[in-house]
Amino acid sequence: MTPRIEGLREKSYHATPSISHERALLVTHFYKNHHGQFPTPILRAKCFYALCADQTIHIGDDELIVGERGPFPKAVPTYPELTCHSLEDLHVLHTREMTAYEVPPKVFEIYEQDVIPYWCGRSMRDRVMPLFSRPWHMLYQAGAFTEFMEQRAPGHTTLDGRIYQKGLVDWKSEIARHLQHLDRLNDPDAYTKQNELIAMDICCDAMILFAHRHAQLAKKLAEDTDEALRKQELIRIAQVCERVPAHAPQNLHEALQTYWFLHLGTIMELNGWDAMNPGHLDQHLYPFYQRDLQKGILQPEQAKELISCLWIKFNNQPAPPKVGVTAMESGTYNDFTNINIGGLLSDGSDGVNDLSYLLLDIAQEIHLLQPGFNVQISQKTPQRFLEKACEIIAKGYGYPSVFNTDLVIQEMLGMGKSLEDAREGGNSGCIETGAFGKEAYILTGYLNVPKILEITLNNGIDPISGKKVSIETGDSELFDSFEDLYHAFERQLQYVIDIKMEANHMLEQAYAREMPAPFLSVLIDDCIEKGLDYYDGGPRYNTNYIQCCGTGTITDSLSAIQTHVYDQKTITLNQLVGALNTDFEKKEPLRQRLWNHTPFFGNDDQAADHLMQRVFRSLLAFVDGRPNTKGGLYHLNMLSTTCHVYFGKKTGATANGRHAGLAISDGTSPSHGADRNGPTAVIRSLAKMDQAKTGGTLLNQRFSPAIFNNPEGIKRITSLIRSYFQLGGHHIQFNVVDTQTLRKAQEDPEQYADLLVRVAGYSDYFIHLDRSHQEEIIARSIQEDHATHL
Amino acid sequence: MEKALVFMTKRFASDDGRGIRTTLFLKGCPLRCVWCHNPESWTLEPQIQYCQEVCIRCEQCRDSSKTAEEISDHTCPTGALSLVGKWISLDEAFALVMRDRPFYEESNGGVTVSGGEPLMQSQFVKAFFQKLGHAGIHRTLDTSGFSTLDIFQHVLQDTDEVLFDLKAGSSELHKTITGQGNERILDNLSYLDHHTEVDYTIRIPMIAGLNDCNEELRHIQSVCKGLSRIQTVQLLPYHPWGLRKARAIDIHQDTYDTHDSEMSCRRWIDQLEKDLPRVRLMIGGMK
Repeated sequence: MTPRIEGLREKSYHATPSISHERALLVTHFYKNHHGQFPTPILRAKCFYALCADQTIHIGDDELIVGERGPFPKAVPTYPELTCHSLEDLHVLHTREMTAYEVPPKVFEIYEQDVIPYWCGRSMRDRVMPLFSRPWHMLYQAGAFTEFMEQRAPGHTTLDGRIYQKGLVDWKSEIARHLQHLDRLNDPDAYTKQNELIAMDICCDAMILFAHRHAQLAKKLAEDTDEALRKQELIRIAQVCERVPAHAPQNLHEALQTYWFLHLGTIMELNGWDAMNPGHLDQHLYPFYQRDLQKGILQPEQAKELISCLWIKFNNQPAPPKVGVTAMESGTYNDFTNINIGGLLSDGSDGVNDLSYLLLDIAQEIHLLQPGFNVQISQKTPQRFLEKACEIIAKGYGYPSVFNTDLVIQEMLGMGKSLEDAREGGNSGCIETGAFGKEAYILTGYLNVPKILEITLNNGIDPISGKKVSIETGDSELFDSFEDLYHAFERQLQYVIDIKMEANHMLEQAYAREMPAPFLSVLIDDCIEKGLDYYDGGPRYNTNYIQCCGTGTITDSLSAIQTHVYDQKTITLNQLVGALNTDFEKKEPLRQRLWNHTPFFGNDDQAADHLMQRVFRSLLAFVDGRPNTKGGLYHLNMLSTTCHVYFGKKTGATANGRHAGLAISDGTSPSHGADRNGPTAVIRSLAKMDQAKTGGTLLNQRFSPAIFNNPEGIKRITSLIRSYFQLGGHHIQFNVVDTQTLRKAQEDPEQYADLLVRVAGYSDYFIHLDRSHQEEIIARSIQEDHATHL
Repeated sequence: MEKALVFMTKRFASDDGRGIRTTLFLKGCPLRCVWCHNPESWTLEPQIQYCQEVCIRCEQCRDSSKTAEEISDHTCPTGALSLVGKWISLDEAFALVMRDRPFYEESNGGVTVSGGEPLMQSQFVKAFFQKLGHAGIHRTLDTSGFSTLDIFQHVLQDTDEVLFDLKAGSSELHKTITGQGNERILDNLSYLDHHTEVDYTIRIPMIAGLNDCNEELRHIQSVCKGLSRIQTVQLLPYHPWGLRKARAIDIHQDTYDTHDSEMSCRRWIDQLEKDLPRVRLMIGGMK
């Protein structure tokens, strides 16, 4: 690390996340003055223009890549048009123990005087949520599912390489061409398209203005400084900001700044989930890197420094503040940028290049919370690259996660994408599959599958509240066979998913009509061509995901019922339900029997794995291939983020012997402590899921550092990964840390301030996790030597 | 059909040879090493073990008579009371280890048979290794070397690698700490070295106060110098994992100093490096 990078890194690491009122105030003023004057897309575009024109801009000392979302690093704006925080929300944000945001008194004042009086009752959350059906609210409160767009806009977007080929000026001409060719006579949607295209054009101007303001500021700073070297740098920055993103970048510095401005634009426009993502950054930057080196205008060390400057920028943008259920399903400052390294090129050849290795070096050196990064491993990926990734994993940073590029492509082909688009795609957020630059792949919320079994066992009643939250599918006394029970479970599952989808459709239309994202739409194919917004079917592909949690818990619970109630008949279903609803009170021997004498998922056990496959098929049947409102389809995603901890709190004891309130299993990893035959058995079990039919699965593996501490150990891990991928696995991630270290970190957080751990598709500082998440990670089975007594 | 009494299996075993391996631990051993980390492997019959730490005192076992024949998986909810050792057929054993075949192929791994002393069930091991050989799976035998030469020869014909656990170089000491002298063991080692082409590693457990003295070091040096194909010597520092298992089957075991054992490993490595310059010396699985 150069002294510059060291300094910038330190500053970013130590900056405190705080709430800035600036965006909220600008947006409020804008809406007060202009709401009703323009068609909605144009209103949104002009609002974006106002932000780009009036927001405080910031160029930090020593920076080479410039621009912040807020007035200074880690000053986080709010989006009152989506969710208007109450004073109480702000107080909670300010004072809560975990993921707190400093809220200065000025913010309270402005919220009370300006923001709340205008937005209360007008925000998307206030207007749309009450329209949801009563059954939806009942199930939502019971914790059967969550709603992703409750506080944040749909997003989840990754860019492809086209932003480096053309500048916004070029896209403006493209927009103009489409405007000119609108068939205003015969196309009934011509008016809608015209508004959207005009909005996009305004957004291009807005972003160019934003960049030019940075150029002006850089010039002024250059004039003000006496340091000759810094003066030169600032002049250079000014030149770069004059050119990009208006024009296509011509060198590495411009390419990096191009991406960063576009990134900022999307997260200023709205607070879409999972920020923004450069996707295959190594592949996109490589031509610039090569050219600059050849021309002799850049040394490798300078390239590294420039890219490092961008890297640190991500860390300056904590996630927008979340409260309530949304904070629980995703309680982190991490905003899920997940850079893809490696993979394939669009012609199917190996995509690993010198920059792939350099990015791994940078990530390892900088070692901050953000950005996340993953390695894309195909059969063509060189072994050396995988080994290097595993060497970083071995250090225990929780990064990078590892994806099976070949399967990811297969997933996308199954969803109807072209082979080239699939190869240019990859993974973003935690583990989600998408066609970069061409797709809106929207996460709509998590589904608590074990909870639905609990509701089934109680005939539609949530035993925790005692309220009827779902349909009646029969009293547990009446299920004479496992088949009867499973059938009832399927009916409940279908009902809950239908209720969720109904609300999804309403919300997605509300965004399409009232909260379009014309700036984002400029960046995603084929919004310009279609004249349609990103939220309105503009992208080439429009996927909705429902994320299903608790594969381990649901499989093991069904397995326990099948084994003990129906096969061995040692307990009736009614007795079992009674024990579950009292959390095994005075029934410890029963709990032990369920826990110790049931075939569980994750052990390569045919009986248990068949149940997993059955549940998976049911989920597929009720989710996969159903239409959304934008001309796209729903697909399954097997992801949990931190939601399995929240869902656990909302779910009583389960038949696998899990106590009430404890975390359920995550996306697709086995239940905590249920995998007793080591990682190969876990992999064999999970590989029995037809993962090609999902938009992603998640496998957490925790290893003792001893396994990794020699070259032979690293080779074993690379083999484990390659084998899993050959068997059809989507993703695997590792925590290489022993329990002792985690316990010490709990006792003495200050000493372990920078201990990063893998949570669920992203990493977080261990000491920033609340106790229940910390315990969840400690409870994951540790893969050491796995002996099974016979 | 051959059968084996197996007391433990380990998938993704990382200390039993190259690559990703599955290890099958056979029950029954002629030695009685005083520090043994698998004391439940000694007898060649299923036996009851009771793990106090896991027991919740539910007393559901009170009514059963607790003979080995009557203990089933379901006698005890927690598994505190259980039977160690199960007879499995050759086909079962084969099916079990073949589950991880994709991992062996990718990692250049395979199957290890350990114990106990696997040569006590040599007919099974021979048949098992033959079957694995036909399937192209790499086979490792982890043995103390205590058997007749006939049996050893017979099994070696179908073995790719031997982990040869040498407890002591002096026969007298060997007898003191394991109950048996080492004459047969050294003969077998010499046979392995001079008359076969099977790869082997010598593994020496280092137990502070038992076999880490200088005199023993000299014995080991002289054994190693007599070997022409010797490539690797691993010193395995004592660990106390056997204690809990010994308690569970009601055997008393002394404990030894782990730190001193590790220090002795280092000291020995320094010495052996001078005498055996071409031999790869390791502590545990590491250089």
